[in-house]
Amino acid sequence: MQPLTDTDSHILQSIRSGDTAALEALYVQAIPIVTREMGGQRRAHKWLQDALIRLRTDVRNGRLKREPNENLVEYLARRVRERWEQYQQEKELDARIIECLQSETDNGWAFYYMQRYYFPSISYYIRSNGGTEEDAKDIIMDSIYALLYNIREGKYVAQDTTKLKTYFYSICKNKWKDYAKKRKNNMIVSLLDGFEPEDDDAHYYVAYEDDVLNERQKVVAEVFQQATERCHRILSYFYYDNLSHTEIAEKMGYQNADTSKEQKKRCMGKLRLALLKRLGGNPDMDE
Amino acid sequence: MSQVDVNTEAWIDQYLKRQLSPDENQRFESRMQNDPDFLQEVILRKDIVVGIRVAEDRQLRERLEHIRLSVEKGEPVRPQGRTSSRRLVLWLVAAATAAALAYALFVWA
Repeated sequence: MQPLTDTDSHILQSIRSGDTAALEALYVQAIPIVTREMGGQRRAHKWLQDALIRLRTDVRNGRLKREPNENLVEYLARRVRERWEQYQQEKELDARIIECLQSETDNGWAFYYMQRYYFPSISYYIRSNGGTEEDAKDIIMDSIYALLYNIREGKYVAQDTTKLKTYFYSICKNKWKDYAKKRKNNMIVSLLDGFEPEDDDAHYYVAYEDDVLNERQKVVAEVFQQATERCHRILSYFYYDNLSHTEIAEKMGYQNADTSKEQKKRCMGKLRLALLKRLGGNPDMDE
Repeated sequence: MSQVDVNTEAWIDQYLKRQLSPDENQRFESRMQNDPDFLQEVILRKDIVVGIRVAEDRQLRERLEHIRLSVEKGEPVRPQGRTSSRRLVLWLVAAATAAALAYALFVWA
């Protein structure tokens, strides 16, 4: 790989150390390219923003995958182009799946396709919410039948704005909620499964959408915005950017790592308390 | 479970950040199996970490959206995110001006 340009390495280093302004700088540079290539579609801008958020996560996890000779702006533009291609393919596939499900005799292909390609993200959701891969398989099967029914009864009408995938997820999600309620007592808690979005893009884009989060996570996201500027920074540095306490101490102007550790514990305690207060003081509440 | 002590907190953080060795990981998971309070505390903290990350992602998206609107209107862009690099700020302002210009040219063409 070619050596990075001076600016690129500077930006990467800044992102790694938790500077969000570096991401804004990159974004500003990439906007004209996306505007030129995609004619300024609203969708393309959202994808560019996704690509930046993803870039930040990838840098944090050391998983940034660039083509040889590609600078960061080109990398972002490529991600957007890939999303665009994927979007067009999915649109065609949606139409094909619906047509296939509508046919009385020949819908085996649609069943096969949905089980295979929707599995990773649905399994991800179910595993993050106390289920197993086997549960995911059952839920997908049940949901395909439900979708089939809705299509034939005319309850599902294809729209440009709602992808079939999104609609299908919501069916799966509701089915899982019902199922999980009935089985509350012997849920398998596999904590780390589904915690960190894995390499696959399909996982990632679904991972932080609102309907994948549980109630408590949604409340944290709100309560966190009300944290003091100082706590906000420390907790983001520690839990988002994965900085060490030594690095945090340096950024915050603390004497040493111990101070940072102490401050972080205090901030975490405050956040935890604010969260429990909002939830009505029941720490065992899961949903 | 009420608040945990410093060491336990560090231990949970290491687990959630996947920084434990396989042996330690196993020890951690068996503690969760045998201690329901501890398990609940870990689940709570996991939710907090997920929430923090979600909030950060949202905040970044909001700022980006703000920048997009400024560029489209041809307004100057000022970095709002955290930074400790003055060089980056100067560069960002220059890049933003160029971008606004490029955008204006594109619309005009």
